Amino acid sequence: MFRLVAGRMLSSIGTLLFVGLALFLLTRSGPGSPARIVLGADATQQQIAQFEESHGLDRPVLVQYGSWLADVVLRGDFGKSFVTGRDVAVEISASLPVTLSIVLLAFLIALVFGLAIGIAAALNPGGVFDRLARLGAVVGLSIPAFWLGIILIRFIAVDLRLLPPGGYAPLSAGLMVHVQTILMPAVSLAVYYIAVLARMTQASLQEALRGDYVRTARAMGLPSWKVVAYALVNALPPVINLAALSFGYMFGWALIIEQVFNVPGLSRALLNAISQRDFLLLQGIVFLFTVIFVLANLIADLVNRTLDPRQRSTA
Amino acid sequence: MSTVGTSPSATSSPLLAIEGLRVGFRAAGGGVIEAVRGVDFTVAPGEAVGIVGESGSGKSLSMLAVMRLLGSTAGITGGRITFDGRDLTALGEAEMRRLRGRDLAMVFQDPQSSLNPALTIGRQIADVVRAHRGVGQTEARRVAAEALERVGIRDAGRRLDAYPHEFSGGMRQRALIAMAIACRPRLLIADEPTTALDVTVQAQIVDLIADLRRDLGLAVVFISHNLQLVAEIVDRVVVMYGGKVVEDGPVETIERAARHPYTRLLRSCVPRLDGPVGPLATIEGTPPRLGRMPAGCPFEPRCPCREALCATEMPPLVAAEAHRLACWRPQ
Repeated sequence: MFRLVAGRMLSSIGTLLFVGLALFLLTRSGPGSPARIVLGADATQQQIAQFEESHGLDRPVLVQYGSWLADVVLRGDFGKSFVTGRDVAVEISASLPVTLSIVLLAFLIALVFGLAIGIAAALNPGGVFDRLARLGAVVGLSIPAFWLGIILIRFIAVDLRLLPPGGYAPLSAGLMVHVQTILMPAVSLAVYYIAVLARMTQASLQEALRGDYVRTARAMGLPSWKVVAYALVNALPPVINLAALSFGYMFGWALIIEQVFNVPGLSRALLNAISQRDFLLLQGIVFLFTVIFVLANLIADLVNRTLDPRQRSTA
Repeated sequence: MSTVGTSPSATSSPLLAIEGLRVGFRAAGGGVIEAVRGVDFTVAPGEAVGIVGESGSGKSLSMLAVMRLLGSTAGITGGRITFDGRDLTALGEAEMRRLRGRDLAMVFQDPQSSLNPALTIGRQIADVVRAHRGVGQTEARRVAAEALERVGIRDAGRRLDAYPHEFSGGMRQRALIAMAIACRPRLLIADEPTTALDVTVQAQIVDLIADLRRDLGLAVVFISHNLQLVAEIVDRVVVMYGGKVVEDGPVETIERAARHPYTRLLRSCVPRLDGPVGPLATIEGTPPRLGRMPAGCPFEPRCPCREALCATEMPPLVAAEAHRLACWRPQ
């Protein structure tokens, strides 16, 4: 187990190094200097050169990358925002909880409904749930999340006045108020992944239910819920892998959803960073997404390993 | 069928009696394709019966029908299956579930895939025990260890925590048999339990089943395409072809004085060490296809002794003492 985690950590570090480098090259290759945006159109050539020098922007890209990396690794310091002058970590920690709340709720919804619909469909091939899952998959996969968000605002918030149409209340304002503000964004985000996870669960469980060991379990008179549990243990690994990927992708889609619902999450910080060429903040946010993605997949691997004894002993 | 020969063992009240069993698949066009076409035989308490035939003869399907494990595509289309005085075809799924594993159990061909790869051997045996007896985890585990020991796995208590992939093919088949006998059923159905195993291991499994039968008083139905293998442990052999019983008799009769041309050919197909060296004997032609069963004897197209009547009319299964035969031209 330890060797597995250590090995995965090493390859994850490789991924992160590469992503960091790619980020540097991409941000620095775009037009427009941060200095011009921070100092304004009236700034002299000299002022700009001075800004670039003091922020290290005049150095070669690889050197900039090296010193950024050293700061991150040795001191956990992601640098300061060019625009506000505050620590990137502080800037991110202001908006991260908003995005995290929405994504976590969306993930929970997707997991619960995706698994439930998938299992129900697999157990009744040709039945109501099977047909519902097939139809739902097509619908769920085809509806863009932002469009669903707009529709929800129109009907649930404006017409029915059940939930606020946008904005955000932190958890400290009370659980109910908090959930009311993130429920519609989370549902808009979750629908696509409910469809994806339900289809995968259905396919994987149907396959497992055809297994010889399922027939053995029936021939030995195990109760049917136990027979399903037997199959499910073997059907879950691909679903867990897909769930981990989905969790990572959700952070990407959350950026768009946050715009629709006017929520002050990471999307606002990221879009500002892009338009203001706030390289260090931009890098910090994208780097955070990468870390979340890598961690989610690592966790999925560990869960799968506990489910499958064959993987455990060969690790 | 015009005449139904009563099975030899029907004199004492049988443990399992199959009468006129028919099993069909639902065809794409809405019709039913019958694969088992009126099968009768009985198994007495403690008796070992071999069912022999080629793939598609309906031998496995008949026994899956007894277990009521035919799945969603096939079903029992006629006949009765009486086990210990109860008609299994009339039982509800819940009652049937209670019988499976407790009174009658079945082990299958491929031990590789017949155990759940994600659970320990001990857990899988204990689950069977707990499904039928209201006992706790510890007691179920004790019974599981006992069953595992009984099937000849050394150091059974410790091996309970092993996973299927840590067992060899032969040990897995032993573990499956342990699951089947853990609750002391009265009938064990073994569907080609040795086909996927090495020849040396095959003999061990056959011996094991013979031992269990003697020690536990189990009745055994041993399905195989290998007449010689089956002959080592059974009292009686039922030969099936084209979804019908074509010959049924004591093992000595079938081995030495079989009268159906198919049984005789089947016997000659097993190579012998002391026999002449040369190409392996085969039966010319292929078994009839499902849904294309001939009107007469299903073996007629391949039969070396056929005559005109064989193609048009199915010979009845006629009983004479301990022997039953369906053939117009017995040898």
